[in-house]
Amino acid sequence: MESRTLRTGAVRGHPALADIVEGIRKYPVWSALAWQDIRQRYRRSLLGPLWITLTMIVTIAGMGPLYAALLKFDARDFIPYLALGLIAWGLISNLLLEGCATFTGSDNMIRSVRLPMSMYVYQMVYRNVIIFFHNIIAFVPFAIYLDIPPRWLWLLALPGVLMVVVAAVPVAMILGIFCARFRDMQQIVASVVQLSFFLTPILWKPELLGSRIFIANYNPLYLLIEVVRAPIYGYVPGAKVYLGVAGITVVLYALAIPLLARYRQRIAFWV
Amino acid sequence: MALIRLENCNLDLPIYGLGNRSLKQMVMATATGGKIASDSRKITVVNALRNINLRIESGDRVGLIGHNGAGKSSLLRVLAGVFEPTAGRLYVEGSVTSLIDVSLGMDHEATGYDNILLRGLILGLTRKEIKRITPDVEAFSELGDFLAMPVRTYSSGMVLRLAFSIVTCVSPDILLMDEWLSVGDADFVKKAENRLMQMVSKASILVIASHNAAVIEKLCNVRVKLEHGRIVDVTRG
Repeated sequence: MESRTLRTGAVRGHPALADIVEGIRKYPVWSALAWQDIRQRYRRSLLGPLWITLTMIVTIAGMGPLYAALLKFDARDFIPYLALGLIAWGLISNLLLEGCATFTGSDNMIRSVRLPMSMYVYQMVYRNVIIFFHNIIAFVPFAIYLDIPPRWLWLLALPGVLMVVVAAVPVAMILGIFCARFRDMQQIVASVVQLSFFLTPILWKPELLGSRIFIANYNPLYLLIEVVRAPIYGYVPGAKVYLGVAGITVVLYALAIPLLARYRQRIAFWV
Repeated sequence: MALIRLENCNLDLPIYGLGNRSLKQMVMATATGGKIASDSRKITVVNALRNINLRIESGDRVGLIGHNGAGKSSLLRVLAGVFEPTAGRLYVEGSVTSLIDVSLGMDHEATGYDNILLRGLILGLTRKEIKRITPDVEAFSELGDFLAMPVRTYSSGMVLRLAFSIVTCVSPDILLMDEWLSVGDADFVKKAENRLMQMVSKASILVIASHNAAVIEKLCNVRVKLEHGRIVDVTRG
């Protein structure tokens, strides 16, 4: 049976696209909620969100020298590589893991007010971008210690972050919908993310693969890390990397839009 | 002008047990021909609303009556846009505010002022409008200096006072309520009732679900009786 709903003030057109646009218009709501999420996490702590930075500094300081020694890399070159890799991975893995709870984490709101579903996606993504910019500060002490001067090239990482964000939106829609419907999906995603950490060149360099470098080149997570990591580490990511990321993004939207159109109305039943 | 039109609206609510929420079990059910985990494929569906036809116009004060589980709250949620009807047409003209969950979105670690902002934004107000209503909330809630303190330090009555003071600041075209509010101590109840009456009188349409016959009698000019998800009786006047 067909069902139709018309409301004044609602965006007309394709249901998923209308939802996406309506969500963007709700910017004041989701940006405030995202900040609120962060404040809530660190409310009664002394350092506040700087805990995020501190944790990252400790991780890098611990793992950097160890893995440089294990893999027989020059520590001066490897530590910045690892630091940036971990920071970029932090953004991507958090987006994946928290993407699962996009809708289930906001069940109260979904069940009591009519707001576009994409709004919860933007809230989650925005929250993690804020966390990323806390994390990136962790690179500063290492840059100072290793005497790495800032370069204009670093700014190229910003469009990289934007690319990750644009790709994260459809991922969170897909994961959010699946994890709302199937509650064990979240565990599956968590295991896959954990495994991907070792399969993706973060602790190691893709050159080590030798003739099997395709393992890295066809890893979408590697491409997404590269657009953020490479400019600060010191080189421009190749055209192949950017094209790869663009390709992944197109595919993700092609999957997410029909999925959102079909299940958008059912999310309220599932959460 | 506010208007609500429901044409042949149905609402089927799926009820999920543990089995059919699991992807593993769904896959197992396919792999084993559905024998071992045969239950996991069947999803129980509650027909929360059946064939609802209703036209609510400006000036209508609609009271929804019926037993528990008759579909009153489901109908409110459909009107609020939380649930979309699984079949039929729904047409809503005018801004809608639902008081279904008054203390929605209260962050207990945040201060009263933070909560005014958050709740205001969720209600669709702009930051400017929220600034404008803040003195009103301060005055009405009588929370004074407590507003600068985290909500977790409030008593439950105070939390409700704050929530109530915020949500009643907006003036929607269509107001949806689940039960008449009961807030705090006797003094505040009187005050709250007056304020709610004001809000109701400003709204073009009120839809309230209540078990309290006196409330319906006092507020409503249209009574809609629901039974098992169907409208069995509509009385006007």
